[in-house]
Amino acid sequence: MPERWLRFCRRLVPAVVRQTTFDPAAADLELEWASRGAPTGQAARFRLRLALVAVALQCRRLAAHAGVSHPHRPGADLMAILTDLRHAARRLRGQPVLTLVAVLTLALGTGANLAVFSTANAMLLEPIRAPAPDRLVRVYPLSADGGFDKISYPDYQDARDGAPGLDLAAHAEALVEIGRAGEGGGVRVAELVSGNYFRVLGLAPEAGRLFDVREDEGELAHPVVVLSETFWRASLGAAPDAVGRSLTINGAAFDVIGIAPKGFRGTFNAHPVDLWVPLTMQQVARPRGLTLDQRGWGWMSMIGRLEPRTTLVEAQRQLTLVAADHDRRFPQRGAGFAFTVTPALAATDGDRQLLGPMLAAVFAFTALLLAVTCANLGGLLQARLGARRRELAIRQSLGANRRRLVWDGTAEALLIAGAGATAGLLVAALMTSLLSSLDLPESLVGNLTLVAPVGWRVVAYAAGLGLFAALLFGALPAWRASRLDASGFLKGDGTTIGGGRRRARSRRLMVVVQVALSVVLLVASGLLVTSVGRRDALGPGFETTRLGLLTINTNRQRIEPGARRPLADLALETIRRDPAVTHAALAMRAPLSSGRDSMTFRIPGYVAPSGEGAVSIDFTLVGADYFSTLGVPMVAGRTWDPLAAVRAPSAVVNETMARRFWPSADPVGQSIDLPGRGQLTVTGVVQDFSYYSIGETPRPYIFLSAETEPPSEWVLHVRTSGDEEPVLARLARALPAADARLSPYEVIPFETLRRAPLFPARLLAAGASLFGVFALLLTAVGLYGVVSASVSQRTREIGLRLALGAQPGLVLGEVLREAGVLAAAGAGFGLVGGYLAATGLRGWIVGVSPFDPGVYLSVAAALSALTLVAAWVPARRAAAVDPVAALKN
Amino acid sequence: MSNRLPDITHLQFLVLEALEAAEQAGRDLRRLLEAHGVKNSAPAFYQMMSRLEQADLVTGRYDQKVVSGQHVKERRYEVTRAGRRAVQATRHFYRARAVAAGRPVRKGSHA
Repeated sequence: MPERWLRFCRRLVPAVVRQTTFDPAAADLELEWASRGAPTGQAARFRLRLALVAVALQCRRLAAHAGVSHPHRPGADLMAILTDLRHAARRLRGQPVLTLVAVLTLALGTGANLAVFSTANAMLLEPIRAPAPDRLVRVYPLSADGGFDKISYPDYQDARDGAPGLDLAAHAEALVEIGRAGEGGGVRVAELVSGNYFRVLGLAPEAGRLFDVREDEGELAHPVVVLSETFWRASLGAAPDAVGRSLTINGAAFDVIGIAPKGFRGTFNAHPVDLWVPLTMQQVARPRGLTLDQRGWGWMSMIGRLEPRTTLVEAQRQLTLVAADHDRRFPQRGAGFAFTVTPALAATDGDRQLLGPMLAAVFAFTALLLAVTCANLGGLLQARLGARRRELAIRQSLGANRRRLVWDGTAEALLIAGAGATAGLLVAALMTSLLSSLDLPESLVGNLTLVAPVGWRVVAYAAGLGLFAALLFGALPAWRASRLDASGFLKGDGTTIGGGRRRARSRRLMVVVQVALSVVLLVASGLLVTSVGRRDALGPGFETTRLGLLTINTNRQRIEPGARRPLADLALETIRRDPAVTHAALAMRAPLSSGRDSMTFRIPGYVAPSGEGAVSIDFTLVGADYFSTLGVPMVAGRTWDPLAAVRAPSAVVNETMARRFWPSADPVGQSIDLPGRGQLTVTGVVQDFSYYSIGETPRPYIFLSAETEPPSEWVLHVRTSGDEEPVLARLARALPAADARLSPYEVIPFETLRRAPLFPARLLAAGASLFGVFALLLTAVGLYGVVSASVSQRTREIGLRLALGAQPGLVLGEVLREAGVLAAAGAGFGLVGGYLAATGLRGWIVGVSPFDPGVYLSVAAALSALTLVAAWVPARRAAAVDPVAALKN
Repeated sequence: MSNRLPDITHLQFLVLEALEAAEQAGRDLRRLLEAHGVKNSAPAFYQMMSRLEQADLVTGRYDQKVVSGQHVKERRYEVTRAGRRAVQATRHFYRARAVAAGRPVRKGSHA
């Protein structure tokens, strides 16, 4: 028997009946359970039944309190609740269209909210799938700007050995190529891990063995691999003899020594891992031409388990001592080495920083939409209760107690909310599967996989949302409706109702709230859409069509540094031979791709405001034809001579750099010191263009000659005369034909890259627009309802006025004015809210002021048009009232 | 006495009558009710038993049991003197009704 669960369920039950009712019922279940031999596979079912017992008892108690229980008939209380629910269901069935619209509206409102919640839950809140995940922590060295940094192997060793309260493992992600056909093939996500990694996580192998500290000894001495259960099943067909087989990783043979436990896919939640390789094999699995013992080259993350009785604070203290010791030992690396310890979740802190703000923004939009939905349904149910006032008054005068009447009104809302939340779960599942199938740009999220299974937390959240909605739009109006002077009401004719004005006021208030929230959503979406449009139209500063990129990694292709130059020349020659290619150049990185390289330069005669002579400037390595290939004009000087650059290192700087460092002198011919690597001569100044994102603030940038020192990764830029895609396909075949080592691992049109940085903003804009339009439509329905009800209520008055000579146009104008006042009041609040929302979204709105008059005016125009449409039908009806018929009635 | 309506329901009568013979476990009582076509859920049944306890018609106690190597607590019930009296009273009531139903009804009288 799961003791903790039993205690939990017991707490759900009122204390007075725990011993006499819950305990024996639980014992019966337990007996049944034990007599079956307690199969563990059915534990979940058993727990569910136990929880149902507790919930049933609680319901019975609540029913007894609400006065719906029958003292002499066990089960009668529950029966009374069920009867009321059945009556409510029958009433709802009587108006199928209305019910369906209410349920669908709520399903969309909750579904959108649930989809975002379940994604955020899966991406950001889930713990690591390992025993006692609450004792796991992530440890980061802090970078100079306080961000999370990576750590080098020697620094990791110091941290591991210097913090006894923490069992610390290191790990790094790598994309590896699995060789030979029949073994899964293709590029897979691998995790390079220290020997204690699996021990720290507390995992046991599914088959074979996992790594131990032996694998930490000797670089390149352990070509062994552990496979994920999924990979083993999918790629090796769950072969029982997989352990002991050989697997080719990046061209080298590795022995499979074990299979990781089922369900474990590594500790980078968003990037499911297929295989694990010892850190000591990094030269093969993650070829960067570097050895493990290089201190200062940070490339790994750390994950640790707190030893028993060690707290997070104590672990942090121990690591602070390690950092202080590090500063003492390596003063040349500068002071300020520091660690931070955070509780480990399945998502890395980097992923959470990347996705958190976007998910938070989308979540806020869906919450607004849900609020509009609730306000709309509130209005609807209030109108329904209004129509039932006579029935409620009769029941009250016949002796029904008030709690029973409130419950009766709430039952309808509960049914709608229950159906809406359940349908919302389906909508959410549909939306998340749609989101998972989206082809997210790699430059945004790396090899991130959106996984959002609907777990218990999501279901609990859905139930909470449903209950909240039901209480908000059901119980509250029911409570108000039950405060009714029955005799007064029944004495009257039933149409002039005391409190009718108050009810109309609260319905109007709900419409104002809906208008305001819709306007907030519309303003936000308008600003986002405008921003995306402007950034899209802006472009990076060069022509992005007819431009393609082919990437070759020399380490992966085993190209020795000495062979890089001739092979690069061969690659460019092969590309230029294609008749459709007009220009081609090699670069270390493409503009707008992820990643950034910066170096410390010293510029003679320049002293930074901080007093330092050296400045950190972003740079990249490019071939001499790079600028002509991109089509970026030189504003001064020229690019370097490829042959001369080999002997005399040269550089081209951008306009911003020229203005910043040589405001009054000619930048061409100036020299720049590259500490430890000699002097560069500036041969030209190129026009500014975007390096990281479109619309960015221009920053100083240096282009160094790739001819001097060809980089390890080549991004071959190809400008074509026509459509680039067929040319790229041709080149992807021609390059390996020229030399087998020139096999590109990525071939993409530049447009793909251009669109990628805008992806989150585009997604956000699309989401906000969709929710905004939906909210506006709901608001129109709400507005129509209120105006229409008001016209029905005033039919007699309008008839009288028309009989006395009022013009129909006047009546029409008056009804339209009523709707206009409501819309204007809502719009007033909404525009202020929209401005506040825009300030919150400032990071996403680039190139547009948060008070862009165009956006606000368009929203106002859309709202006016909608108000007119929503109010026109009831207004026409009011103007067409037949005075004689109205007065006769 | 025999003319007063019984204080207990048919279901309660069934349970108390079963307990008259011997002390029984809640689980066995539920089986007995099932044999009479009464399918009560565990919470409903134990709520009824709880009410009988509150009315002092039965007393309940826990008993330890070992099933498949697991210690399991089980609620056992015994009828009280008041419980027995209630069963007797119900029996008398229905017996009197049966006897009354067996006599010829005189003309002009209202049974």
